[in-house]
Amino acid sequence: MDPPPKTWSIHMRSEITAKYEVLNRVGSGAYADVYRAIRLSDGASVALKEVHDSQSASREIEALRLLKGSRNVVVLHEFFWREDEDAVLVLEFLGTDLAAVIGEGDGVGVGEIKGWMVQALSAVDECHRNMIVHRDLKPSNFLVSDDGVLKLGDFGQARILVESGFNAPQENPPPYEDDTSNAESSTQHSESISQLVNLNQTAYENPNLGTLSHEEYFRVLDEMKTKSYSYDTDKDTNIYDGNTSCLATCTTSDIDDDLCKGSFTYEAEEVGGNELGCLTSCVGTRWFQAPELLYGSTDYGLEVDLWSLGCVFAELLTLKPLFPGTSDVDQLSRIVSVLGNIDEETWPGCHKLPDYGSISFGEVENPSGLEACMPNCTPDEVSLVKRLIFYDPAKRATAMELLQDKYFSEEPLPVPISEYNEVDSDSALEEFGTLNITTTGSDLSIQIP
Amino acid sequence: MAAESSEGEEETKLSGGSLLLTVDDDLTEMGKKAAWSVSSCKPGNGVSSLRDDNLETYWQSDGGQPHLVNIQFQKKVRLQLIVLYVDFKLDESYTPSKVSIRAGDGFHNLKEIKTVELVKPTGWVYLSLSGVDPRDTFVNTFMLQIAVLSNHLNGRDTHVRQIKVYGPRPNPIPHQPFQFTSREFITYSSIR
Repeated sequence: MDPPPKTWSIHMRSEITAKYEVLNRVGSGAYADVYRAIRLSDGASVALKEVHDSQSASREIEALRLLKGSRNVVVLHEFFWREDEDAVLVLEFLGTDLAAVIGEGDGVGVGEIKGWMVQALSAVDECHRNMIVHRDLKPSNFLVSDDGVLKLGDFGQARILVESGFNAPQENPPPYEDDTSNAESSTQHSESISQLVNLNQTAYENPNLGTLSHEEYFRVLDEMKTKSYSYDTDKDTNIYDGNTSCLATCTTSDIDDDLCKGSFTYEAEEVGGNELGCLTSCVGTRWFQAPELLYGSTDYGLEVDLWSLGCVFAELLTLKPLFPGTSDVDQLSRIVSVLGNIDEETWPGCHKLPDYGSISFGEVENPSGLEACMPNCTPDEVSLVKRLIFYDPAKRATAMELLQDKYFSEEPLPVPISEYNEVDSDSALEEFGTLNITTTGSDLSIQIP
Repeated sequence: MAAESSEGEEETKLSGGSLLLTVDDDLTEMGKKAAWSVSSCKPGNGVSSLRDDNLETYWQSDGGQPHLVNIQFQKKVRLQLIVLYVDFKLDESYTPSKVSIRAGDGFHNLKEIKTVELVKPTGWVYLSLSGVDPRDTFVNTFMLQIAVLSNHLNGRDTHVRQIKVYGPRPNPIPHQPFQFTSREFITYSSIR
């Protein structure tokens, strides 16, 4: 590829070019452009992610800092943020992703697929232990290194459960600014998150408590949500498309005009109530969206990731998307034709969903079932996907539960990661220490030593 | 009275309405094969009220005009007739007065094919999808949208009590360009 033109904004930023040689652009989306670069200090390949949306950037940074040291989550080395410029995140570079693996087709063995599934489950489990809902799980966001390590990336739409006492600043300034007042609230924020993480990890890892059952896990979650935690609001999302409706009915949405929408990600500005605790339903990628999102829910939980994971696993096993809808209503229609009618019996409380009254499907007398969508798969493979693809979010198996599924302990066993070291070449960068903040006027550069 | 509008679609004025639903035998109701959605609704008066075969219940919109009913099919279908049940006596200012019918592959390319003005209707209102050309007896489409552009007495929200969508009944004998009606013809219509 030709060398990048000098007009690129990332190429004009001296604080970046002093440390990295930008090679070429490897991807772009609604929120960000990703470039491959060489770290001048040691010649290592890195990915520079230029994020055009400040909220997306702050979410990604915060989520990745919480998940530092997680084996199956992409590593954030450092980031650069200036008031008048986009944030640039320096991430470890991974050569390919699951979408490319699926696209290549038949040369993948069951053991390899199981290996990727185990790693994907580990990544999602790590997120959920830290009360992070990713909200955009899809094959292209599971990155794969040359030696077969799978890492979850793109946390731009992730949300973190925070203490209700913490009031997020309206203007969403860059986090970790060298400013006393901000530092105070940032510390308070970090403390509340770490308390939550500690509490959650205690619940998971305390040998005296044992492993939480599925019901207990979500009961604890719900209690924490209602008593002392709530989701931070989605009100500051920086997409201003006056003609975009987030309703599942897609009546005025430009988003839904695109028949190839399955391959795009979007998060539109919250429509309606923006009170604290209100999430947007217009999030994620349609083909992997949970039905509660398609019905406009704004108080969903971690379970939306579990549905997406089921769709990803089905695609890994069949090499084609499970529900490739062309619009939100078509997406629901495809789901209903496979799983059957949505009613209080199959999904208690479904009538409370915002758009439940706005969408109706003919009575499905003989739903085709997941078996028909996965014709060449074994009963165990179908069973694994079935544990995730439930209308009722409370019935979806957690990532931790699935890791203990018999499917992963039967032959062929998951392929172990070749030459995978606990401490790799990036380990020094993985351990976040004191933030090294440099400010000159409106410039802000933050290194995570 | 039909007039050609600037958009090229047919505009019709209809008054009255039939209390009995009567449809030709060669038509079949296609709505059960579709996904139905509406632009907005009052809780308890959702889209399912349009399809429950109950004239006491109704869909009530809850937003700005136009109020939209979207009917989406998985496969391309032939549609010939739309029948609405509206009731000016009961619904007054909630009764639709101007209705637009649009068809297309999806939201991105809907084309208006007909605009109808309803004058104080009570009962079933029949909206034929046939064009000005007598050969155009149906539309072949993935999606139909019924847009309530305005209501009687300048009402904001609308009430529609039932919607039925009809298309030609599939030919019982495959690869046959027309349908025999008598038993004798049907008996000898294929080589044995």
